[in-house]
Amino acid sequence: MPENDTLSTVPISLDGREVQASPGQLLIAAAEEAGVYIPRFCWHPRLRPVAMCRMCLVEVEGMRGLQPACYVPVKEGMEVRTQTPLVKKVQEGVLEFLLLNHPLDCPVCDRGGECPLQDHTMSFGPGESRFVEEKRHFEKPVPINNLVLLDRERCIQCARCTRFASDVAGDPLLEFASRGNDLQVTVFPDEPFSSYFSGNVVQICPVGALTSIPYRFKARPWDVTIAETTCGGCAVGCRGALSETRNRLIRFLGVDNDAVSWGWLCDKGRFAYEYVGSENRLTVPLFREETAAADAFSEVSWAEAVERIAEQIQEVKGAGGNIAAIGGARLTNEEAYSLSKFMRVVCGTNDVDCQLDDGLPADFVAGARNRAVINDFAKASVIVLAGPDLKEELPVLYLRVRDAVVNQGVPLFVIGPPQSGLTDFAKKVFDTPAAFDPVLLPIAGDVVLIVGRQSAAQDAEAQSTWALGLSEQLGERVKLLPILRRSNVHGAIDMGLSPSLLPGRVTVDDLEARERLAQVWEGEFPPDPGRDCREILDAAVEGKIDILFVVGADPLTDFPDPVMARRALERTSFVVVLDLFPSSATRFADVVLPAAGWGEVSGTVTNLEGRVQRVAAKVTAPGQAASDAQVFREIAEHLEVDFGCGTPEATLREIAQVAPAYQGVSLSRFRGKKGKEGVLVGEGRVAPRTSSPFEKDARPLGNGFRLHVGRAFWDRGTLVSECPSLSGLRPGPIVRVHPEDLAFAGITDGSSVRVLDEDPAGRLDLLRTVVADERVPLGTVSVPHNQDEPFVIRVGATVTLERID
Amino acid sequence: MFIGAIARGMRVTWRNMFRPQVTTQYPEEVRPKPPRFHGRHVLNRYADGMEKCIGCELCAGVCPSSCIYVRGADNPPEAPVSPGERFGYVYEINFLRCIFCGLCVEACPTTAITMTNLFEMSFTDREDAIFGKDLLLVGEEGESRHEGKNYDPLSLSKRGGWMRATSPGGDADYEGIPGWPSDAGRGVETAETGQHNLPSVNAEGSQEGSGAVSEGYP
Repeated sequence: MPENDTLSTVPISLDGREVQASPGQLLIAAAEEAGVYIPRFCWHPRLRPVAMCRMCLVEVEGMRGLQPACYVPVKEGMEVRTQTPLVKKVQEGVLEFLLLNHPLDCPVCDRGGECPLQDHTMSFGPGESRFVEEKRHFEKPVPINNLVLLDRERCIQCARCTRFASDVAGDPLLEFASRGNDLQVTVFPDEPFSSYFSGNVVQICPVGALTSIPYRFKARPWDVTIAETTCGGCAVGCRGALSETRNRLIRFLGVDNDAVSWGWLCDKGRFAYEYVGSENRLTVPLFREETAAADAFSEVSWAEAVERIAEQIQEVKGAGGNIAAIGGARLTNEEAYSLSKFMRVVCGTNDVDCQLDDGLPADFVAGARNRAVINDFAKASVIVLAGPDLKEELPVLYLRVRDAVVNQGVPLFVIGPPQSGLTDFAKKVFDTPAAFDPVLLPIAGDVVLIVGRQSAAQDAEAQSTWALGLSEQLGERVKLLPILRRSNVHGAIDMGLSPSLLPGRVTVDDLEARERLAQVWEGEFPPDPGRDCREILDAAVEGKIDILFVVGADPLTDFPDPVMARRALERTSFVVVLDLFPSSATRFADVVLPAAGWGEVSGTVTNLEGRVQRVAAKVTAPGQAASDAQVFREIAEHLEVDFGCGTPEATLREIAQVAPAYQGVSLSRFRGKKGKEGVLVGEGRVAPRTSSPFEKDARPLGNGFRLHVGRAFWDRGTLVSECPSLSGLRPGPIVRVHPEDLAFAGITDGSSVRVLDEDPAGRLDLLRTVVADERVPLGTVSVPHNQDEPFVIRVGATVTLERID
Repeated sequence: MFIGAIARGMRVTWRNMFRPQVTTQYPEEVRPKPPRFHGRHVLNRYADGMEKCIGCELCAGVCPSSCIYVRGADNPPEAPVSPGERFGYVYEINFLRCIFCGLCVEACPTTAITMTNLFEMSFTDREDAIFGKDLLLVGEEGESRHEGKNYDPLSLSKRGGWMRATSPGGDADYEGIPGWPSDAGRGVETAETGQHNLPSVNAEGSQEGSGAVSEGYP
């Protein structure tokens, strides 16, 4: 296992050479560290060893027969030989045996060219086979879910996929069936391999037995060029390698890094590259013609679009009007910084917010002291999770928490509404923060406190003050990890896309930071916090916002009150939308600018731990789409502001210069072995806010159910909808209720219900299919977000269920 | 005195005037091509009309001048193009780039691509130099879809079963023994033997003497 005690090493003899290895470490790993490669199929550094394939047999002095190097721990003074004639003979024998039933259809196999079995056969195999009989035959290929195909003829029974499914993902839906010559990997009858992590088994399969449907026959390894990058699916920031052929992205594979993802990816992260090459991408700047009816856009050149926006800004600024921006969580750090600088320097306002009132207060996120990193999970004495359903929102973080709990035995307390993944492993589950009592925690050791917004109907202020209250009570023991969902939302907050913060985790009234900025930024901006997203939209409804920039965000879907968001966009006289795709927000835009997105711009992103990692550009953006940073710079330069930030590299240098928490972040730090783990940013100077611990739970009034609106892994999100392989996977318009509640209300599982807000002013009225789920707490109704038309979510809402007969 | 010099100078001319003529009146006359002539490629079919190409891209991968572009696709189950899961749905060779080295033929696992003795290709347009499947793939009778002078379409119908001179694994014991089943296609050529004078088995399964070179070349 990766966590080894490297402090004490013992000498062992490896092929007559003395090397140092840590006792207890597996021989195969110790040999690899010493530069001796022992061939293997079943052993994977992130999986439990099973010694099934027998490929790694070596001679160990004093031990009878040959020993599997993946199952023998290092002991002091051990004498190991990996190159003897006997070992060579056994390797040839094992390979000849593995190839008995292997169909050798390498030319049509997606693994061909990058196949460990091919490589090992070339390096360690016998060359010719003596087997002339008919090989074993199975039906091929069999889909085991919507994304993965199984070809049992090619399988060499290494059990990597079954171990991943049961040990790592916790979805034990892949198993071996039959015995002897008929041994085969299979799914259970009528039950697909429905895992959010199914793509990983394709990646770890050492042959082509498991192949992915989206990549099927798209290319061969020698067609592609590869760049290492960071996934843009959520805020975890998993590392991956992006494959491109003929200017199209065709594959995304996980890359092992110890700090974050361990090489795993969720299926959304792995397969969502498809949207980048979608035909529906915006490709030219669009301007709404003033005389024409709605939806009548005309194409304009970039120069004209920039000029007209610049004129508008000048006019509004001259008349003392208001300019605001929402969104920006999709951008890289460099682009987010450009937007932040643009709004402050060019527009002279602090009215920017990268969250759509569906996250946590930005000063809580940026100001957290004594922060936890993901690698702290396994070392903690307890993990307290008061956040969203990690499996649905931040899937690879779920894998890491699950690993700490299941494999390292760290107790887990889950606070809050349903956790599809982790509830089963939790030591105790509390329905609300108020029900949690810190007395239950162990008396010593680190407490990792993961805090996020559980539901769009939850009070984010209360959640963050509760978390701060708990950490104040427990003191230095608490390591806090505030988690948000959108891809680079943590980076955007760090870059100052928040009404109260400046780049580098400092508040807008921080004198030292303002002084430093004044040396680089030419332009004045107010020292008071601006409006947040809800206040911006409120003001817009009242007609007080003259120009609204909507940057890679869709308030009509994601803002909790889509009706208000729509009215706000309608009432704003000039709405500029920068996005990849036409969305419901572009319908109300006056200008739509095509943006370049993930895979098309290079730069850095910051994940939820505050770890800065690089993203790479692998394809060119379609049509005239351009990086958001370039758009803001061109508008600024049109207004004769010396904006700088010409390239992502120059922007990063400026960030390191002006942003206190990002001091010392430079491109050179991402190189080399250490650079693979990214760069953790420092703490900023955001003052801890006041806390009010353990406030009384607001129990639902009357007979109502508490409304819980969480995210589902597959939803109607724009990017997922543009991926042909993924768009059909969402659960659809359902509502999950505890079976006892259903029985009490006389509603049967699977029937249709109306979900109505008890407060008539709440305007919530949904038609949904009921699913009974024991994980939903009693008295709660859980509605997955963005499965159907958007609906109004009131904080603290209580709802009634009405049966439809 | 200069008459002697002229006579000396014309000696070479006079000598060669009575030697046998080596010039062929191309294009009126065509010389036979050697059996391993590296002419333009064809994509072969099996006897049942199925395409041999499975779109594996090994030819494209090995091509030193990167003149081959192949993309594979899933065989439609109701009307498969080739046996197995995959077929080559795009196959293009840019003959302006091709150096006729024959490595693609060497690499092909199904002998789908072979070289012919056709060499008369002239283009008036760079686009025309890129031959797609419509030109490369042989017709139903195994005839090449080639346009040109001196061209007998059926003369190529035996090029489908090209034979390696050495065994794929490099083992001399396997030289000259076909690595594919005897139903491997229309018009299988007799196997060539390699450096060893071993009796070889041709695709029909009959024994042949050593060093046999197939007949039927123009």
